[in-house]
Amino acid sequence: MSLHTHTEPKTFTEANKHDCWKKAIQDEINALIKTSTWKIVDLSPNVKPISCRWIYKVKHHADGSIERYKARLVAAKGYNQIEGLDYFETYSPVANLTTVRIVLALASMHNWHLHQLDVNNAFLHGEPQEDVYMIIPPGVSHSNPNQVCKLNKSLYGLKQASRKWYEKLTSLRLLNGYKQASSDHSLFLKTTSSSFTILLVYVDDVILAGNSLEEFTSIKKILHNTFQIKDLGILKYFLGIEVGHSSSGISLYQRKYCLDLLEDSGFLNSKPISTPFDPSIKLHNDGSDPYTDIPAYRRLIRLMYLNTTRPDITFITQQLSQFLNNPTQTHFTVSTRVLRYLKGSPGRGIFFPRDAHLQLQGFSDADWAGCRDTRRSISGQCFFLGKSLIS
Amino acid sequence: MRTKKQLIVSKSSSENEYRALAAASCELQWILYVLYDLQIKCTKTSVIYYDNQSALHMTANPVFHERTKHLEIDCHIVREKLQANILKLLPISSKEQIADFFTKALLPQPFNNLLSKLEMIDIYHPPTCEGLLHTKHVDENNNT
Repeated sequence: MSLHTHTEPKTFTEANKHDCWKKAIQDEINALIKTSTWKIVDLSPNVKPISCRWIYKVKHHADGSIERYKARLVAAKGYNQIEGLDYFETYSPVANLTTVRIVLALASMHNWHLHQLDVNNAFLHGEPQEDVYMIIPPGVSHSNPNQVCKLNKSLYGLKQASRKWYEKLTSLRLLNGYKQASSDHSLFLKTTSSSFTILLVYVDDVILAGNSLEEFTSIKKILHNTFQIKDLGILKYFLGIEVGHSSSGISLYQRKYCLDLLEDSGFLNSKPISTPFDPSIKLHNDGSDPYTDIPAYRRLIRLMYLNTTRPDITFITQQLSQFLNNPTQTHFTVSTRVLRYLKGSPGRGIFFPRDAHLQLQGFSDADWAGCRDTRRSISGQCFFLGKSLIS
Repeated sequence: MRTKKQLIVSKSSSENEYRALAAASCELQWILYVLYDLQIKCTKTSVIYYDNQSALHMTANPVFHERTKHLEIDCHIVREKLQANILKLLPISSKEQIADFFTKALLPQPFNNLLSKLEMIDIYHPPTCEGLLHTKHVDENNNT
């Protein structure tokens, strides 16, 4: 395969030169037409259509091999939408990562089945009540240049897209005997005399946990009939988190993300170090030379997305992310040390053992006046459910 | 696992410790709500471990020192949960205090000591059999 197919094109003309991308675009258009996302209408003079563009993405498996080429039509310049006219409500809840960890820890203790589903084109299922007009996207044939698309379904990039999807999903969940938990609105439960099923929604990713595979099959069927889902089977890779199952427990780690981060920053061959930070350095707005390449510093602090499975770097990422605006040379040097620490154990993650008693144990501490610039204190906390670190 | 800079400057060290404790007990309460929704019953009362003596005393005797009186709200949050038997507060030695991990930079030895308590595992480099559930601090010696 040529190099071009691996890099992601930026424009439509660029993408249209390659067969793999052409096919991806055509697939997406077909999917959109199948769900009757839009109706082509003549442009009336007092309507200002929003623009749109194609986004191209190569999707990878957890091991780095190419899964597929994906083209996605997004509504661009959402900021041109006017509140009260083009959209009303935009808020939509997502699962708290602590909830995700609680469910996985319990699944490990109770030996529950864990399955994962992916909703195809989730946001396209939402139905905006507002009249939204969009220019006809490149790649779609139309006869009259003075025509626009009137959207029946929402598109990625619309202000209300995620909310409309969430509304659609919840209305369905409530109908099928699933009860929404009041503590986390993305958690749904169904209990019968013999089965217990948890459905956890993270935007368009769905985790099923429970003791009955029959119930799994039936809910998958219902979801598939309404939304077209991809059944990914046993939970292995979710939100960039890799999930390992063994007889002794479940482990969560972000090895791929960690290695990608090391590779991007050129630290893949660095020498590992045993701790992520040097206790003799106190980070603050020091007077040392400013680090000029601010975007590079910010790219490094993508470290923070490792926090889900790496409590060992939580503290230092909190410290480093205070200086995203005006990093100095010192901050940069400290962040490189974190990378060298990660290099020593990219696959390390949290572990939820199967044998544990159910007790919630918390640890709380504070460092008085720990912030040098403001003299505010730093508080820290963590919680274990049994032996599993959940929060 | 959370590190957070507090929103207000604290005058005394027991004040900020107490504020952290109030935040932790709120988080604990929320986790209990989630567990309740999931119809899971904890077999034992929940515990928060704590290493600040003065803060522990303040939960026992609601006598407000002049400096701590605006802590009243935080204090009542924790006391209410204690009295309702939602949680227990237990003292812990600073050496065992896992939350230290989230509030300060540590030397290699205490760092690795606490790391082993976090139940982390590297399935790509499994430790030797006797430490099945613990990540061993392999390069501890290199650094001391």
